[in-house]
Amino acid sequence: MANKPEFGDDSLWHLAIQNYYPRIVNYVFFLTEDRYLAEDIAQETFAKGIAKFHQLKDPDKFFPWLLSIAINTGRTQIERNKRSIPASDTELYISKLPVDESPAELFERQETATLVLKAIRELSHQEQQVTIMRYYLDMKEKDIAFALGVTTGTVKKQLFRARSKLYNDLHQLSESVGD
Amino acid sequence: MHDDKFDSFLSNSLKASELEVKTPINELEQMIIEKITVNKQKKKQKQRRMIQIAAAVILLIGIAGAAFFPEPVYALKKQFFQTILNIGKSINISLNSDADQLQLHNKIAGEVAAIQEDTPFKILVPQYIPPGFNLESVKQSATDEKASIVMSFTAPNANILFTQTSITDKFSSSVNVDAQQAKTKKVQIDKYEGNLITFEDGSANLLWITDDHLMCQIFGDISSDQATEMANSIK
Repeated sequence: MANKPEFGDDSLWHLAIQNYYPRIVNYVFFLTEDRYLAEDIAQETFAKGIAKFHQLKDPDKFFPWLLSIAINTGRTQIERNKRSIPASDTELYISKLPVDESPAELFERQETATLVLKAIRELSHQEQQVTIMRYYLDMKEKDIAFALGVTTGTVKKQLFRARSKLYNDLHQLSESVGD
Repeated sequence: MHDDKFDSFLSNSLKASELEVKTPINELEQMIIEKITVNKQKKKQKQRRMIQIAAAVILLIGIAGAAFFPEPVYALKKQFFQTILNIGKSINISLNSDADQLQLHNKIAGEVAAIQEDTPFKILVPQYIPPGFNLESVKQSATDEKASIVMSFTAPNANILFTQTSITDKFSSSVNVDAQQAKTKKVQIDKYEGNLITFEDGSANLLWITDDHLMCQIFGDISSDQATEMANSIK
């Protein structure tokens, strides 16, 4: 499959879109706060991925490889869109919250999620990337390194720094949520 | 707080914040297909520009050669063309439509007739056009004392340029071809000897000079056989 995608229910790209499209959208959204840009970059990522599929050497690296395309595709836009959370975007975060929560619990969860995202956005761009890959996408350090084109050692250092900064910013909040 | 607990807190907070993608997958697939199509068109436009630029560079090299080497380094029939072509393009040749040859030839004849009067030499016309190609334009350009005619043929995924430039006895130029990207060989075009350069991506460049002091060139997404056939069909 090189240039002509086959989108049958069992096709590779059908399954890939089903599984990875939402993850790529959210990855870009966490970095840019722009839902439409995130969707556009995710679609472009799949379009390029389909065209470049023959270049993928290790099938086990499919998602990190796809993510590296997303990173390259959105590099300019992501850099350009670095800013704090606009209040108008807050409502977007609640769409997947549990429905059995009370309004108070729901509100508290929204607040926590918003504060965590705010803290992440205070990190450097590289630290934001590794944090989202590690804690949202549950990627291993070696896969993060592959996607970013850096060494595993660099990822470890960035994750350590990011986590320390986040801990300092959020530990009181996390203690209260954890209790 | 334990490391694991904080990690879980971060992970849970991010996952609780994720957007829900509500677009149906078949719509997503359609949008992705549209993007693939747009990307292909952009790539094609870029390749066309590259071919046109390369053709212009070749012509300029030829013209500049005459200026820098006023004395005939080689006899006219033993010219050595310098073409530095490192285009790095990957063009899939797709020649599968059946053009109406008669209509095509009439179209070429009409275009040529329109500019023949202002051209100092008899414009050569290829009788064989590879299947699927249509005439895009016939243009005249004049730089210094040299007149050029550029015929452009296009197919859905490909371009061919046929150029003819009047040159003098003193015209000379030299050629270097990147051996990693191209192969060269001599081919017979009627009674003339031509220099055929075949590129790795399947495109070709064929150059020869006629007794009427015309430097002819066929360049683009064309196989070496087709280029030779096209050259031999020229009248």
